[in-house]
Amino acid sequence: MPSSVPASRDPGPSGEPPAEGLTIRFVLNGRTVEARVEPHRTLLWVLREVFDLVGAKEGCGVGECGACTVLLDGEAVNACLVLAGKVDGREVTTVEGLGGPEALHPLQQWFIRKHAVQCGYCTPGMLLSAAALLRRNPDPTREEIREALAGNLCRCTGYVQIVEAVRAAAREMAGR
Amino acid sequence: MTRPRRYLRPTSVAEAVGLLADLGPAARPVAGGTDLVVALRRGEAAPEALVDLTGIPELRALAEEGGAVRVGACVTHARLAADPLVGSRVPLLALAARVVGSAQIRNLGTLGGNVVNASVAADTPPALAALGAAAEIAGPGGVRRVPLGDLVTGPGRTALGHAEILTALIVPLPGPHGAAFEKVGRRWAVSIARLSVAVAADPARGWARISLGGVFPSPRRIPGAETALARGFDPASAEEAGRAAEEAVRAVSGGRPSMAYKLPVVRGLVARTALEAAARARGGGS
Ligand SMILES: Cc1cc2nc3c(=O)[nH]c(=O)nc-3n(C[C@H](O)[C@H](O)[C@H](O)COP(=O)(O)OP(=O)(O)OC[C@H]3O[C@@H](n4cnc5c(N)ncnc54)[C@H](O)[C@@H]3O)c2cc1C
Ligand code: FES
Ligand code: FES
Repeated sequence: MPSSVPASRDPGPSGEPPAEGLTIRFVLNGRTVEARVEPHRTLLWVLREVFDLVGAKEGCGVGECGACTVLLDGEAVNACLVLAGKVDGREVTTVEGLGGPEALHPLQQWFIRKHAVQCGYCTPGMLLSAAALLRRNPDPTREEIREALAGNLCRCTGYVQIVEAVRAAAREMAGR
Repeated sequence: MTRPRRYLRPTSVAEAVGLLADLGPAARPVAGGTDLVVALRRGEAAPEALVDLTGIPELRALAEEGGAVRVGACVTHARLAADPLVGSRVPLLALAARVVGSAQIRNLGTLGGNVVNASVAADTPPALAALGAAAEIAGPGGVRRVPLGDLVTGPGRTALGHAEILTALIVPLPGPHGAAFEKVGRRWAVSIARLSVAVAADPARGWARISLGGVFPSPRRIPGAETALARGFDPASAEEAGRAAEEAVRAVSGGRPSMAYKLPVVRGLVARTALEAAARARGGGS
């Protein structure tokens, strides 16, 4: 970018004109919510700092680890790359909306049973990527599961148990 | 992260162009944000205002139109990879879109963003170059259409003028063909190790298109490799095509240290991909 900030404008935070706030209204885990945010905020920040939903994690902040994965209109996205303004009028699902302690989603149950969780940092993102896959493809092969989870890094498990957990959940959900 | 102070959501191309023209060069269009948000975070971009193009219906349209497929600039990679029209008429583009980043990145990232970002390692530009795509651009002066090669002028550089936006990629229908797209270099972050090969071929009518990404300053076809493959569409002509591609790369960028490892990879990958495209054409599609 050419440097085109008018010279009269102080670059320091105190001298900058205030950001024009942005009102976003969206469906969050089934409930309509509203927030007023600055334009540079990301969906990940909004979820964690405004709504106190800390399931989505910031691993890398640049789209590479998948720890921040949530569903936007049902599709898996990196919440760290989604500018808050994009969420207006849309639907967001986080791991908290997938299932809570009283009613775990089959994916969550099978992640526990198959020992697909160690430190747990990658788990919320893994669960949502898997949920997006099963919505589109209720009977995925191991290869399809690996492809769907390729954007979610896990430094603990070696992925085998995770793939098995997704297969088991798919079987249960399809009543097989 | 550098902080833009305004976030604008135009709903038509005219409105977007008007906003960009009024706000001046400190305003920046944003589509999926998968390149731009990273750049903001790293302080590599510092726009005062962001103009979100993804709410403009025209930019999300995808349709066949007068012997071509018109892909709106804000169509995502996920949609390209799954679209039946793209899959059947220009499968090469679907194959390239399918290997971009991860599922999460493909759900956000757009074809227009991939082109305008103009990374040498980008995946869809080689496919678009092989298919002879044109770019449709809207700006204060109206709408113009240019060949893709005239839009992307070098690494990170485009010929977009002030307040101009890319509105669509026009991909002429090549007729039935087999397509193959291969890339090496595992993670996006290590872009120096990346190379991609796009091939479309129709042995029945005797034509081939071959282009490379990751090695040239901007995507380009390799006529020598195309002619070589068209001599037989068999393993020997595919080997020849590989050698021609290696020569073309050596001629342009042979001096760079990363090339010592890349040249044999270029030869092998072009030969393999060319053969795969030819086989798919004979097998009736890709
Ligand atoms: C983790 C990760 C992995 C990735 N892997 C790959 C990969 O494997 N292959 C690959 O090719 N890319 C990859 N990318 C890069 C990126 O996802 C793609 O380039 C994507 O297509 C960019 O599209 P976008 O809509 O997100 O662009 P944005 O970030 O919104 O925009 C990119 C640039 O283009 C400008 N722009 C966008 N649309 C327009 C328009 N219509 N008119 C004018 N200007 C416009 C913006 O101002 C900005 O400068 C990766 C990125 C990340 C973060
Ligand atoms: S924090 Fe978003 S992908 Fe790593
Ligand atoms: S369980 Fe620790 S990163 Fe996956």
